[in-house]
Amino acid sequence: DTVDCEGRSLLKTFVAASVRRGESVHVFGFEIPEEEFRAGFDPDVAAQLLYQDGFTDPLCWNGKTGGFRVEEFSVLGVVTRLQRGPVGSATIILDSLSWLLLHRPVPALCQTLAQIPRAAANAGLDFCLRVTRIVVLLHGDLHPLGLVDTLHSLARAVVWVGPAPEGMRSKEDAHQLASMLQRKGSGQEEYFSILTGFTLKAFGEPTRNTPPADDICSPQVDTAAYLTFNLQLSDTERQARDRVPLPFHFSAQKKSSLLEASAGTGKIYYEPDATDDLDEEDPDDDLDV
Amino acid sequence: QGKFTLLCNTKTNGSFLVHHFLSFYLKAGCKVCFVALLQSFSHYNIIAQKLGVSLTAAKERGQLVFLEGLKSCFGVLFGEEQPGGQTSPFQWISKDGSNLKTMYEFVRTSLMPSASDSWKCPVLLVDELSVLLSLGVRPVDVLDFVHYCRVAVCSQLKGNVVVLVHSSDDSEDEENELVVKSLCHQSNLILWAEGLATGFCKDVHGQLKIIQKGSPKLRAERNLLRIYQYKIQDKNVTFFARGMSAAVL
Repeated sequence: DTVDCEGRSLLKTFVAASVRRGESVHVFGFEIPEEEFRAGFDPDVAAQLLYQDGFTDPLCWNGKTGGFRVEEFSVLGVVTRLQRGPVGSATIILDSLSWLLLHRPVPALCQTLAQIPRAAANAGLDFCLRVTRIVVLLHGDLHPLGLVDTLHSLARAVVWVGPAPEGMRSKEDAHQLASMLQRKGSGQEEYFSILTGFTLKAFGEPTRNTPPADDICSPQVDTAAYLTFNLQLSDTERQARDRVPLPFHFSAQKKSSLLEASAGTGKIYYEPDATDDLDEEDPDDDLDV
Repeated sequence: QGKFTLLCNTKTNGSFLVHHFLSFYLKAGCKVCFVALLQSFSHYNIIAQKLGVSLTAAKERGQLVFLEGLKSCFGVLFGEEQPGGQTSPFQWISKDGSNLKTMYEFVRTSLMPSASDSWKCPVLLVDELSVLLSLGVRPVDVLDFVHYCRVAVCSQLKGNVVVLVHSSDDSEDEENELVVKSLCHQSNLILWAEGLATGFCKDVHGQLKIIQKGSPKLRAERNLLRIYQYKIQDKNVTFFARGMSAAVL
């Protein structure tokens, strides 16, 4: 996401969907407090969340225990946390990866992300956890483009969230535009809005013949309505306009009138002044050219 | 309560917002910790007096904890001893590898409610954060400082944090932009004071963009954006819709 359009609510819809599928959801939250993350979910969904609190004391400044520290974000540390949850399939949520990227070296982070599913599956004899997906929130405008591209190549699917153009937003409230980039397949764009309890409502793809950029520029009010003159043409007016001959249009009538004029004897009368010296060979002699 | 407000200024001076919040919270009876890195105490005191608040009196009452950056930095750099042998909140400026933890601890202890005082919700004001970057603090450390202040003040004490930063779109100060954008992501309310694109004007001093982040409980998670123009007067600031200045109409 970017500053203009936050993607956390979309992240929460992923959480809600995973819980409804019956998976256990492990949230590693660094950016917002736990209550704020849990707010808005249905009570039964919120009860299912396993929140690892990386917000309160990630750097151990307060010296508290029990929270998730940023050093713990390694394969081993994460799996230890996962083991506290039930077995079965699980979804891991990172809120947000941007925060981690500022505090951890990038290569280590990428390796951790890639190794978590395998490590979780082989964690112990009696413990088998299938990590079905890892969903991370990334503030795309905080990082250099190269880094963002690197992370894209790690991911199986990338969803960009952006504000919907003005025209769409006026029709329905709360619109966001997501452009999906599946790694195997073409990108597609879709409008959506998020309903209560974090369910997603899609509004289909934007129509291609009106590019979104134009919609932003087009004014919302109908300026033609306030004009003192008429911009539209009725059918009778259009017919009348079509009957008017254009000045460059050469009709038979016009041709005859021109021919008549040439038939009459035109003559130029010229009376020279007393001071004029008329030079027959160069009539423009007095013109300083 | 529990809100994080970000004040931003671009091509103009947004400190009138800081003075407003300072006097507003003091009048409201909140316990205020003011980290002033930009100006001296007397500067703020004079302006606060114009707005009807005495900072000296508030300090004596224990309502205001004033951390004067200009003075404290000097003390650390020239090796003056802290009273009571404590480490100064500005220990980091001596480049001994420490981060802003000392400053955070100062904020936390000064805003901790004690049994004796009866002030309302605690408030942390910072003017301004960009100065820290100029003093050589890494952006990650600045963000950590703000993060911990949010944890302590917003989340644990249910107070408010108001932070002023400087920003400009076309600047090449990447560190500052990183801090500003990260804070934009974290904040609940952004007040963005901008100079006019057309240049200085006698009757319109700039425009204020108010971005209210949608609360998670609301169905429509949508950022509310309002733009006003303002004129700073002797004691207050008048706001009006764009193009509706009294001088124009």
